Amino acid sequence: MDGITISVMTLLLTTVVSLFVAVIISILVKSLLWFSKVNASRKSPSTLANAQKDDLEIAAAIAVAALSRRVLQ
Amino acid sequence: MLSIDNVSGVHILFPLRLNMDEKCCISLFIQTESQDLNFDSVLKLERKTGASMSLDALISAFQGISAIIHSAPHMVIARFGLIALGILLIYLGKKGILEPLLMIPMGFGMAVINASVMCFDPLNLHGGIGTLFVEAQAGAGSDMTKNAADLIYIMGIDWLQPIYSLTFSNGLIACLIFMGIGSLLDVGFIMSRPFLSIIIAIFAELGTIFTLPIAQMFGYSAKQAAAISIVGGADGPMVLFTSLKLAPELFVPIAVVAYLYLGLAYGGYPYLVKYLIPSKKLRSIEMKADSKASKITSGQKMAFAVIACVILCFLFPVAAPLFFSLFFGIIIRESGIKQFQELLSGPVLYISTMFLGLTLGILCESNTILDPKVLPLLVLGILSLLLSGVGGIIGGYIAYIFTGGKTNPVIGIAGVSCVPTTAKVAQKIVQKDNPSAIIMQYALGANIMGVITTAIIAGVFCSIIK
Repeated sequence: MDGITISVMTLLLTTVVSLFVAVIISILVKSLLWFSKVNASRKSPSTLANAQKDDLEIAAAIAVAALSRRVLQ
Repeated sequence: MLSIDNVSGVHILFPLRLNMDEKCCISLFIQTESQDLNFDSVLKLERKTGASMSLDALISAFQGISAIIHSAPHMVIARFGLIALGILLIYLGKKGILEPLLMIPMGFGMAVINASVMCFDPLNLHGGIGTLFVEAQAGAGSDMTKNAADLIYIMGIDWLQPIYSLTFSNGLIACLIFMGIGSLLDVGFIMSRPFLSIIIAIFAELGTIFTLPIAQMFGYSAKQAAAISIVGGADGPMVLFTSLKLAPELFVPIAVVAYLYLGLAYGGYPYLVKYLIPSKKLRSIEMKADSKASKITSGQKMAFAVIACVILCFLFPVAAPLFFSLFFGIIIRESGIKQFQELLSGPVLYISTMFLGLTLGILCESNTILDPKVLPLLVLGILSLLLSGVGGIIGGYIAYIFTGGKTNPVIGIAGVSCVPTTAKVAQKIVQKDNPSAIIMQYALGANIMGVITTAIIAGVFCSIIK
Protein backbone atom coordinates (compact mmCIF):
# COMPACT_ATOMS: atom_id res chain seq x y z
CA MET A 1 0.00 0.00 0.00
CA ASP A 2 1.47 3.37 -0.98
CA GLY A 3 1.54 6.46 1.20
CA ILE A 4 -1.29 8.31 -0.56
CA THR A 5 -3.66 5.32 -0.23
CA ILE A 6 -2.82 4.96 3.47
CA SER A 7 -3.38 8.70 4.00
CA VAL A 8 -6.75 8.69 2.22
CA MET A 9 -7.88 5.56 4.10
CA THR A 10 -6.75 7.04 7.40
CA LEU A 11 -8.56 10.31 6.72
CA LEU A 12 -11.78 8.52 5.80
CA LEU A 13 -11.68 6.10 8.74
CA THR A 14 -10.78 8.84 11.21
CA THR A 15 -13.58 11.10 9.95
CA VAL A 16 -16.14 8.30 10.11
CA VAL A 17 -15.09 7.15 13.60
CA SER A 18 -14.86 10.73 14.93
CA LEU A 19 -18.33 11.57 13.60
CA PHE A 20 -19.59 8.30 15.08
CA VAL A 21 -18.17 9.41 18.46
CA ALA A 22 -19.85 12.82 18.01
CA VAL A 23 -23.20 11.17 17.27
CA ILE A 24 -22.82 8.95 20.35
CA ILE A 25 -22.03 12.02 22.47
CA SER A 26 -25.11 13.83 21.15
CA ILE A 27 -27.40 10.86 21.74
CA LEU A 28 -25.90 10.29 25.17
CA VAL A 29 -26.23 13.90 26.27
CA LYS A 30 -29.80 14.16 24.96
CA SER A 31 -30.91 10.89 26.54
CA LEU A 32 -29.25 11.70 29.86
CA LEU A 33 -30.85 15.14 29.88
CA TRP A 34 -34.21 13.52 29.17
CA PHE A 35 -33.69 11.07 32.06
CA SER A 36 -32.76 13.86 34.43
CA LYS A 37 -35.90 15.79 33.38
CA VAL A 38 -38.05 12.72 33.96
CA ASN A 39 -36.45 12.21 37.38
CA ALA A 40 -37.00 15.86 38.29
CA SER A 41 -40.70 15.63 37.42
CA ARG A 42 -40.97 12.49 39.54
CA LYS A 43 -39.49 14.20 42.61
CA SER A 44 -41.50 12.90 45.55
CA PRO A 45 -43.02 15.25 48.12
CA SER A 46 -40.73 13.67 50.72
CA THR A 47 -37.68 15.02 48.81
CA LEU A 48 -39.17 18.49 48.94
CA ALA A 49 -39.95 18.00 52.59
CA ASN A 50 -36.35 16.96 53.20
CA ALA A 51 -35.12 20.08 51.41
CA GLN A 52 -37.38 22.22 53.59
CA LYS A 53 -36.13 20.36 56.65
CA ASP A 54 -32.53 21.15 55.62
CA ASP A 55 -33.42 24.82 55.26
CA LEU A 56 -34.97 24.83 58.72
CA GLU A 57 -31.86 23.19 60.16
CA ILE A 58 -29.62 25.83 58.56
CA ALA A 59 -31.84 28.63 59.88
CA ALA A 60 -31.71 27.06 63.35
CA ALA A 61 -27.90 26.82 63.19
CA ILE A 62 -27.65 30.51 62.23
CA ALA A 63 -29.95 31.46 65.11
CA VAL A 64 -27.84 29.42 67.56
CA ALA A 65 -24.66 31.08 66.30
CA ALA A 66 -26.21 34.56 66.69
CA LEU A 67 -27.40 33.70 70.17
CA SER A 68 -24.00 32.37 71.27
CA ARG A 69 -22.30 35.53 69.93
CA ARG A 70 -24.70 37.68 71.96
CA VAL A 71 -23.99 35.56 75.06
CA LEU A 72 -20.23 36.01 74.56
CA GLN A 73 -20.61 39.77 74.26
CA MET B 1 40.33 6.18 27.70
CA LEU B 2 38.23 3.21 26.77
CA SER B 3 38.43 1.32 23.57
CA ILE B 4 36.99 -1.95 22.39
CA ASP B 5 38.82 -4.70 20.71
CA ASN B 6 36.90 -7.92 20.19
CA VAL B 7 40.11 -9.95 20.38
CA SER B 8 41.89 -8.46 23.32
CA GLY B 9 38.95 -7.02 25.18
CA VAL B 10 38.04 -3.67 26.60
CA HIS B 11 40.76 -1.39 27.86
CA ILE B 12 40.14 1.61 30.05
CA LEU B 13 43.01 3.85 31.00
CA PHE B 14 42.49 7.09 32.83
CA PRO B 15 44.51 9.10 35.33
CA LEU B 16 43.18 8.92 38.85
CA ARG B 17 45.22 11.70 40.39
CA LEU B 18 47.93 14.04 39.20
CA ASN B 19 50.35 15.98 41.33
CA MET B 20 53.84 17.39 41.06
CA ASP B 21 55.70 14.20 41.94
CA GLU B 22 53.50 11.41 40.94
CA LYS B 23 51.17 10.41 38.22
CA CYS B 24 48.79 7.71 39.23
CA CYS B 25 47.03 5.80 36.52
CA ILE B 26 44.36 3.20 36.91
CA SER B 27 43.86 0.71 34.20
CA LEU B 28 40.80 -1.49 34.05
CA PHE B 29 41.29 -4.44 31.82
CA ILE B 30 38.18 -6.34 30.88
CA GLN B 31 38.89 -9.51 28.95
CA THR B 32 36.43 -11.09 26.64
CA GLU B 33 36.27 -14.83 26.36
CA SER B 34 34.13 -14.91 23.27
CA GLN B 35 32.83 -12.67 20.52
CA ASP B 36 29.60 -11.90 22.41
CA LEU B 37 31.52 -9.99 25.09
CA ASN B 38 31.27 -12.35 28.04
CA PHE B 39 33.29 -10.14 30.38
CA ASP B 40 35.80 -11.36 32.88
CA SER B 41 37.14 -8.24 34.50
CA VAL B 42 40.55 -7.83 35.94
CA LEU B 43 41.50 -4.64 37.64
CA LYS B 44 45.08 -3.65 37.21
CA LEU B 45 46.58 -0.66 38.93
CA GLU B 46 49.52 0.98 37.33
CA ARG B 47 51.66 3.50 39.07
CA LYS B 48 54.09 5.53 37.13
CA THR B 49 56.39 7.96 38.88
CA GLY B 50 58.86 10.52 37.67
CA ALA B 51 58.76 13.64 35.66
CA SER B 52 57.74 11.98 32.38
CA MET B 53 54.28 13.47 32.34
CA SER B 54 53.45 13.63 28.66
CA LEU B 55 50.90 15.88 26.98
CA ASP B 56 48.84 12.78 26.15
CA ALA B 57 48.53 11.94 29.81
CA LEU B 58 47.54 15.49 30.64
CA ILE B 59 44.89 15.47 27.93
CA SER B 60 43.60 12.10 29.04
CA ALA B 61 43.07 13.59 32.50
CA PHE B 62 40.28 15.60 30.94
CA GLN B 63 38.38 13.11 28.87
CA GLY B 64 36.10 15.75 27.41
CA ILE B 65 39.10 17.45 25.81
CA SER B 66 40.51 14.18 24.51
CA ALA B 67 37.08 13.38 23.03
CA ILE B 68 37.14 16.72 21.18
CA ILE B 69 40.59 15.90 19.76
CA HIS B 70 39.39 12.49 18.59
CA SER B 71 36.12 13.81 17.11
CA ALA B 72 35.40 15.04 13.62
CA PRO B 73 35.18 18.88 13.47
CA HIS B 74 31.48 18.89 12.47
CA MET B 75 30.70 16.71 15.50
CA VAL B 76 32.52 19.10 17.82
CA ILE B 77 30.58 22.05 16.37
CA ALA B 78 27.32 20.11 16.73
CA ARG B 79 28.12 19.26 20.34
CA PHE B 80 28.81 22.85 21.29
CA GLY B 81 25.73 23.91 19.33
CA LEU B 82 23.60 21.45 21.29
CA ILE B 83 25.11 22.57 24.61
CA ALA B 84 24.20 26.15 23.68
CA LEU B 85 20.72 25.03 22.58
CA GLY B 86 20.24 23.20 25.90
CA ILE B 87 21.14 26.33 27.85
CA LEU B 88 18.86 28.40 25.60
CA LEU B 89 15.96 25.99 26.24
CA ILE B 90 16.48 26.35 30.01
CA TYR B 91 16.48 30.14 29.64
CA LEU B 92 13.37 30.19 27.43
CA GLY B 93 11.62 27.74 29.77
CA LYS B 94 12.41 29.93 32.77
CA LYS B 95 11.14 33.01 30.91
CA GLY B 96 7.91 31.15 30.08
CA ILE B 97 8.41 31.53 26.33
CA LEU B 98 8.61 27.73 25.96
CA GLU B 99 6.86 25.11 28.10
CA PRO B 100 8.99 25.10 31.27
CA LEU B 101 7.79 21.71 32.55
CA LEU B 102 9.44 19.97 29.64
CA MET B 103 12.05 22.41 28.42
CA ILE B 104 14.00 22.92 31.64
CA PRO B 105 14.78 19.22 32.27
CA MET B 106 15.23 18.62 28.54
CA GLY B 107 17.58 21.57 28.08
CA PHE B 108 19.59 20.56 31.12
CA GLY B 109 19.89 16.95 29.94
CA MET B 110 20.89 18.12 26.45
CA ALA B 111 23.60 20.48 27.73
CA VAL B 112 25.02 17.91 30.15
CA ILE B 113 25.06 14.91 27.80
CA ASN B 114 26.83 16.84 25.05
CA ALA B 115 29.40 18.04 27.55
CA SER B 116 30.04 14.56 28.89
CA VAL B 117 31.00 12.87 25.65
CA MET B 118 34.20 10.87 25.98
CA CYS B 119 36.29 8.30 24.19
CA PHE B 120 33.96 5.55 25.26
CA ASP B 121 31.85 3.51 22.98
CA PRO B 122 31.49 -0.20 23.58
CA LEU B 123 29.54 -0.48 20.34
CA ASN B 124 32.22 1.36 18.38
CA LEU B 125 29.48 3.16 16.47
CA HIS B 126 30.81 6.66 16.18
CA GLY B 127 34.54 6.19 15.96
CA GLY B 128 34.74 5.25 19.61
CA ILE B 129 33.14 8.48 20.85
CA GLY B 130 30.12 8.07 23.08
CA THR B 131 28.45 8.58 26.43
CA LEU B 132 27.58 6.38 29.37
CA PHE B 133 23.98 6.38 28.15
CA VAL B 134 24.69 3.84 25.45
CA GLU B 135 21.58 1.87 24.79
CA ALA B 136 19.83 4.57 22.86
CA GLN B 137 22.64 5.32 20.45
CA ALA B 138 21.41 5.65 16.93
CA GLY B 139 22.16 2.67 14.77
CA ALA B 140 22.64 0.25 17.67
CA GLY B 141 21.31 -3.18 16.80
CA SER B 142 19.82 -5.50 19.41
CA ASP B 143 23.06 -7.49 19.88
CA MET B 144 25.09 -4.33 20.29
CA THR B 145 22.54 -2.98 22.73
CA LYS B 146 22.81 -6.18 24.76
CA ASN B 147 26.60 -5.91 24.82
CA ALA B 148 26.35 -2.30 25.93
CA ALA B 149 23.95 -3.28 28.71
CA ASP B 150 26.40 -5.98 29.86
CA LEU B 151 29.25 -3.52 29.93
CA ILE B 152 27.25 -0.95 31.87
CA TYR B 153 26.26 -3.65 34.36
CA ILE B 154 29.91 -4.58 34.89
CA MET B 155 30.96 -0.98 35.29
CA GLY B 156 28.16 -0.42 37.77
CA ILE B 157 27.00 2.80 36.16
CA ASP B 158 23.29 2.65 35.48
CA TRP B 159 22.36 6.30 35.86
CA LEU B 160 19.13 6.91 33.90
CA GLN B 161 19.29 3.55 32.14
CA PRO B 162 16.64 1.90 34.39
CA ILE B 163 14.27 4.85 33.83
CA TYR B 164 14.83 4.57 30.08
CA SER B 165 14.49 0.77 29.94
CA LEU B 166 11.59 0.33 32.36
CA THR B 167 9.41 3.31 31.51
CA PHE B 168 10.53 5.02 28.32
CA SER B 169 11.39 2.35 25.79
CA ASN B 170 8.33 0.23 26.60
CA GLY B 171 5.82 3.08 26.31
CA LEU B 172 4.79 2.99 29.97
CA ILE B 173 5.67 6.65 30.47
CA ALA B 174 3.31 7.57 27.60
CA CYS B 175 0.44 5.76 29.32
CA LEU B 176 1.23 7.33 32.71
CA ILE B 177 1.27 10.81 31.19
CA PHE B 178 -2.00 10.06 29.43
CA MET B 179 -3.59 9.03 32.74
CA GLY B 180 -2.38 12.30 34.27
CA ILE B 181 -3.64 14.33 31.32
CA GLY B 182 -6.97 12.50 31.41
CA SER B 183 -7.42 13.40 35.08
CA LEU B 184 -7.15 17.09 34.11
CA LEU B 185 -9.56 16.99 31.16
CA ASP B 186 -13.12 18.19 31.41
CA VAL B 187 -14.96 16.32 28.68
CA GLY B 188 -17.96 18.55 29.31
CA PHE B 189 -16.47 20.93 26.74
CA ILE B 190 -16.63 18.35 23.93
CA MET B 191 -19.96 17.00 25.11
CA SER B 192 -21.55 20.43 24.81
CA ARG B 193 -20.24 21.08 21.26
CA PRO B 194 -19.21 17.68 19.84
CA PHE B 195 -19.47 18.50 16.13
CA LEU B 196 -17.62 21.83 16.34
CA SER B 197 -14.77 20.20 18.31
CA ILE B 198 -14.55 17.23 15.94
CA ILE B 199 -14.50 19.30 12.73
CA ILE B 200 -11.66 21.45 14.04
CA ALA B 201 -9.76 18.41 15.34
CA ILE B 202 -10.01 16.58 11.99
CA PHE B 203 -8.69 19.59 10.07
CA ALA B 204 -5.86 19.90 12.58
CA GLU B 205 -4.66 16.44 11.51
CA LEU B 206 -3.67 17.83 8.10
CA GLY B 207 0.02 17.46 8.97
CA THR B 208 -0.38 13.79 9.95
CA ILE B 209 -2.21 12.97 6.71
CA PHE B 210 0.06 14.88 4.31
CA THR B 211 3.41 14.08 5.90
CA LEU B 212 3.00 10.31 5.47
CA PRO B 213 3.37 10.24 1.65
CA ILE B 214 6.04 12.97 1.84
CA ALA B 215 8.04 10.85 4.31
CA GLN B 216 7.79 7.92 1.92
CA MET B 217 9.32 10.12 -0.77
CA PHE B 218 12.29 10.59 1.59
CA GLY B 219 12.81 6.82 1.41
CA TYR B 220 11.16 5.72 4.63
CA SER B 221 9.01 2.58 4.71
CA ALA B 222 5.23 2.89 5.21
CA LYS B 223 5.55 2.02 8.92
CA GLN B 224 8.38 4.47 9.47
CA ALA B 225 6.55 7.19 7.52
CA ALA B 226 3.42 6.67 9.62
CA ALA B 227 5.44 6.87 12.85
CA ILE B 228 7.05 10.11 11.63
CA SER B 229 3.80 11.67 10.44
CA ILE B 230 2.07 11.17 13.81
CA VAL B 231 4.29 14.04 15.04
CA GLY B 232 1.65 16.21 13.32
CA GLY B 233 -0.84 14.99 15.92
CA ALA B 234 1.23 17.08 18.36
CA ASP B 235 0.74 14.60 21.13
CA GLY B 236 3.95 13.41 22.77
CA PRO B 237 2.69 10.19 24.38
CA MET B 238 1.01 9.24 21.10
CA VAL B 239 4.27 9.74 19.20
CA LEU B 240 6.13 7.53 21.69
CA PHE B 241 3.50 4.82 21.47
CA THR B 242 3.14 4.81 17.68
CA SER B 243 6.86 4.87 16.96
CA LEU B 244 7.39 1.99 19.40
CA LYS B 245 4.67 0.00 17.66
CA LEU B 246 5.54 0.81 14.05
CA ALA B 247 9.19 1.81 13.87
CA PRO B 248 11.10 0.88 17.04
CA GLU B 249 14.38 1.43 15.16
CA LEU B 250 13.48 5.12 14.79
CA PHE B 251 11.82 5.45 18.18
CA VAL B 252 14.55 7.54 19.82
CA PRO B 253 15.09 10.12 17.06
CA ILE B 254 11.34 10.48 16.40
CA ALA B 255 10.64 11.02 20.12
CA VAL B 256 13.47 13.55 20.42
CA VAL B 257 12.38 15.48 17.32
CA ALA B 258 8.71 15.41 18.34
CA TYR B 259 9.25 16.74 21.84
CA LEU B 260 11.79 19.29 20.71
CA TYR B 261 9.29 20.73 18.24
CA LEU B 262 6.32 20.41 20.61
CA GLY B 263 8.22 22.61 23.03
CA LEU B 264 8.98 25.07 20.27
CA ALA B 265 5.34 25.03 19.07
CA TYR B 266 4.40 26.87 22.25
CA GLY B 267 6.54 29.78 21.08
CA GLY B 268 6.02 29.36 17.33
CA TYR B 269 2.25 28.87 16.94
CA PRO B 270 1.31 32.43 18.00
CA TYR B 271 3.25 33.75 14.98
CA LEU B 272 1.55 31.23 12.69
CA VAL B 273 -1.89 32.25 13.98
CA LYS B 274 -1.15 35.96 13.53
CA TYR B 275 0.13 35.30 10.03
CA LEU B 276 -2.89 33.22 8.98
CA ILE B 277 -5.47 35.39 10.79
CA PRO B 278 -4.10 38.87 10.14
CA SER B 279 -7.36 40.64 10.98
CA LYS B 280 -7.41 41.83 14.59
CA LYS B 281 -11.21 42.02 14.31
CA LEU B 282 -11.43 38.28 13.64
CA ARG B 283 -8.95 37.42 16.40
CA SER B 284 -10.91 39.39 18.97
CA ILE B 285 -14.34 37.85 18.36
CA GLU B 286 -16.00 37.21 21.70
CA MET B 287 -17.72 33.86 22.20
CA LYS B 288 -20.63 33.46 24.61
CA ALA B 289 -19.90 31.51 27.77
CA ASP B 290 -20.91 27.92 27.12
CA SER B 291 -23.80 27.32 29.50
CA LYS B 292 -24.37 23.80 28.14
CA ALA B 293 -21.01 22.57 29.47
CA SER B 294 -21.85 23.51 33.04
CA LYS B 295 -25.15 21.62 32.86
CA ILE B 296 -23.46 18.30 32.08
CA THR B 297 -23.09 16.30 35.26
CA SER B 298 -20.11 14.20 36.31
CA GLY B 299 -22.24 11.06 35.88
CA GLN B 300 -22.93 11.97 32.27
CA LYS B 301 -19.23 12.62 31.66
CA MET B 302 -18.36 9.25 33.19
CA ALA B 303 -20.97 7.51 31.05
CA PHE B 304 -19.47 9.14 27.94
CA ALA B 305 -15.92 8.17 28.94
CA VAL B 306 -16.87 4.52 29.55
CA ILE B 307 -18.90 4.16 26.33
CA ALA B 308 -16.39 6.01 24.13
CA CYS B 309 -13.46 4.04 25.54
CA VAL B 310 -15.17 0.68 25.08
CA ILE B 311 -16.18 1.51 21.49
CA LEU B 312 -12.72 2.85 20.55
CA CYS B 313 -10.98 -0.16 22.14
CA PHE B 314 -13.38 -2.43 20.27
CA LEU B 315 -12.56 -0.71 16.95
CA PHE B 316 -8.79 -0.36 17.51
CA PRO B 317 -7.55 -2.91 20.06
CA VAL B 318 -3.93 -2.10 19.13
CA ALA B 319 -4.29 1.38 20.57
CA ALA B 320 -6.26 0.16 23.60
CA PRO B 321 -3.50 1.08 26.12
CA LEU B 322 -3.72 4.70 24.96
CA PHE B 323 -7.52 4.90 25.03
CA PHE B 324 -7.59 3.08 28.35
CA SER B 325 -5.06 5.41 29.98
CA LEU B 326 -6.72 8.60 28.76
CA PHE B 327 -10.27 7.59 29.64
CA PHE B 328 -9.18 6.06 32.95
CA GLY B 329 -7.87 9.50 33.94
CA ILE B 330 -11.19 11.08 32.87
CA ILE B 331 -13.20 8.49 34.81
CA ILE B 332 -11.10 9.01 37.95
CA ARG B 333 -11.63 12.79 37.65
CA GLU B 334 -15.39 12.43 37.32
CA SER B 335 -15.74 9.64 39.88
CA GLY B 336 -14.97 12.06 42.68
CA ILE B 337 -12.24 9.86 44.18
CA LYS B 338 -10.12 12.80 45.26
CA GLN B 339 -7.15 10.72 46.41
CA PHE B 340 -6.77 9.02 43.00
CA GLN B 341 -7.35 12.25 41.10
CA GLU B 342 -4.71 14.07 43.13
CA LEU B 343 -2.32 11.14 42.63
CA LEU B 344 -2.77 11.08 38.85
CA SER B 345 -2.86 14.83 38.24
CA GLY B 346 0.01 15.49 40.66
CA PRO B 347 2.80 12.99 41.36
CA VAL B 348 2.14 10.59 38.45
CA LEU B 349 1.89 13.33 35.81
CA TYR B 350 4.71 15.50 37.08
CA ILE B 351 7.19 12.71 37.86
CA SER B 352 6.56 11.22 34.41
CA THR B 353 6.91 14.60 32.70
CA MET B 354 10.12 15.41 34.56
CA PHE B 355 11.80 12.10 33.71
CA LEU B 356 10.48 12.26 30.16
CA GLY B 357 12.06 15.69 29.67
CA LEU B 358 15.30 14.63 31.29
CA THR B 359 15.57 11.38 29.30
CA LEU B 360 14.76 13.17 26.05
CA GLY B 361 17.43 15.75 26.78
CA ILE B 362 19.93 12.97 27.45
CA LEU B 363 18.98 11.39 24.12
CA CYS B 364 19.75 14.65 22.27
CA GLU B 365 23.37 13.69 21.88
CA SER B 366 25.17 15.01 18.78
CA ASN B 367 25.75 11.51 17.38
CA THR B 368 22.02 10.80 17.49
CA ILE B 369 20.95 14.16 16.12
CA LEU B 370 23.51 14.15 13.27
CA ASP B 371 22.78 10.59 12.23
CA PRO B 372 21.93 10.58 8.49
CA LYS B 373 18.65 8.81 9.26
CA VAL B 374 17.65 11.54 11.69
CA LEU B 375 18.31 14.67 9.63
CA PRO B 376 15.24 14.25 7.33
CA LEU B 377 13.16 13.77 10.50
CA LEU B 378 14.02 17.31 11.55
CA VAL B 379 12.48 18.59 8.31
CA LEU B 380 9.50 16.21 8.34
CA GLY B 381 8.71 16.87 12.00
CA ILE B 382 8.47 20.63 11.59
CA LEU B 383 6.58 20.25 8.30
CA SER B 384 4.07 17.98 9.99
CA LEU B 385 3.44 20.39 12.89
CA LEU B 386 3.30 23.36 10.54
CA LEU B 387 0.70 21.69 8.30
CA SER B 388 -1.35 20.66 11.33
CA GLY B 389 -1.30 24.25 12.57
CA VAL B 390 -2.43 25.48 9.14
CA GLY B 391 -5.13 22.77 9.04
CA GLY B 392 -6.36 23.77 12.49
CA ILE B 393 -6.72 27.40 11.41
CA ILE B 394 -8.59 26.29 8.25
CA GLY B 395 -10.90 24.32 10.59
CA GLY B 396 -11.31 27.48 12.67
CA TYR B 397 -12.28 29.48 9.57
CA ILE B 398 -14.79 26.80 8.53
CA ALA B 399 -16.32 26.88 12.02
CA TYR B 400 -16.43 30.69 11.77
CA ILE B 401 -18.31 30.53 8.45
CA PHE B 402 -20.75 27.78 9.51
CA THR B 403 -21.65 29.48 12.79
CA GLY B 404 -22.32 32.78 11.04
CA GLY B 405 -19.28 34.56 12.43
CA LYS B 406 -19.93 33.56 16.04
CA THR B 407 -16.82 31.37 16.34
CA ASN B 408 -13.40 32.86 16.81
CA PRO B 409 -11.17 31.16 14.19
CA VAL B 410 -8.20 31.26 16.60
CA ILE B 411 -9.66 28.25 18.45
CA GLY B 412 -8.62 26.22 15.37
CA ILE B 413 -5.04 26.12 16.62
CA ALA B 414 -6.27 24.33 19.75
CA GLY B 415 -7.36 21.42 17.55
CA VAL B 416 -3.68 20.54 17.19
CA SER B 417 -3.91 18.50 20.38
CA CYS B 418 -0.89 19.14 22.67
CA VAL B 419 -3.19 19.49 25.70
CA PRO B 420 -3.44 22.12 27.14
CA THR B 421 -0.63 24.08 25.50
CA THR B 422 -2.40 25.02 22.26
CA ALA B 423 -5.60 25.96 24.12
CA LYS B 424 -3.52 28.26 26.31
CA VAL B 425 -1.86 29.68 23.17
CA ALA B 426 -5.29 30.39 21.62
CA GLN B 427 -6.57 32.10 24.76
CA LYS B 428 -3.38 34.19 25.10
CA ILE B 429 -3.59 35.42 21.49
CA VAL B 430 -7.26 36.34 21.76
CA GLN B 431 -6.85 38.02 25.14
CA LYS B 432 -4.00 40.13 23.81
CA ASP B 433 -6.31 41.62 21.16
CA ASN B 434 -9.45 41.68 23.29
CA PRO B 435 -8.89 41.36 27.06
CA SER B 436 -12.58 40.60 27.71
CA ALA B 437 -12.77 37.65 25.27
CA ILE B 438 -12.78 34.20 26.88
CA ILE B 439 -12.57 31.34 24.39
CA MET B 440 -10.86 28.80 26.64
CA GLN B 441 -13.91 26.51 26.96
CA TYR B 442 -14.27 26.15 23.19
CA ALA B 443 -10.52 25.85 22.70
CA LEU B 444 -10.35 23.07 25.29
CA GLY B 445 -13.19 21.22 23.51
CA ALA B 446 -11.20 21.21 20.26
CA ASN B 447 -8.04 20.44 22.19
CA ILE B 448 -9.43 17.34 23.94
CA MET B 449 -11.03 16.14 20.72
CA GLY B 450 -7.61 16.58 19.08
CA VAL B 451 -6.19 14.03 21.52
CA ILE B 452 -8.97 11.56 20.78
CA THR B 453 -8.62 12.08 16.99
CA THR B 454 -4.86 11.53 17.16
CA ALA B 455 -5.45 8.34 19.17
CA ILE B 456 -7.90 7.19 16.48
CA ILE B 457 -5.32 7.90 13.76
CA ALA B 458 -2.68 6.00 15.76
CA GLY B 459 -5.12 3.09 15.98
CA VAL B 460 -5.83 3.25 12.22
CA PHE B 461 -2.11 3.33 11.40
CA CYS B 462 -1.34 0.39 13.67
CA SER B 463 -4.26 -1.58 12.20
CA ILE B 464 -3.92 -0.97 8.45
CA ILE B 465 -0.15 -0.80 7.99
CA LYS B 466 1.20 -4.34 8.15
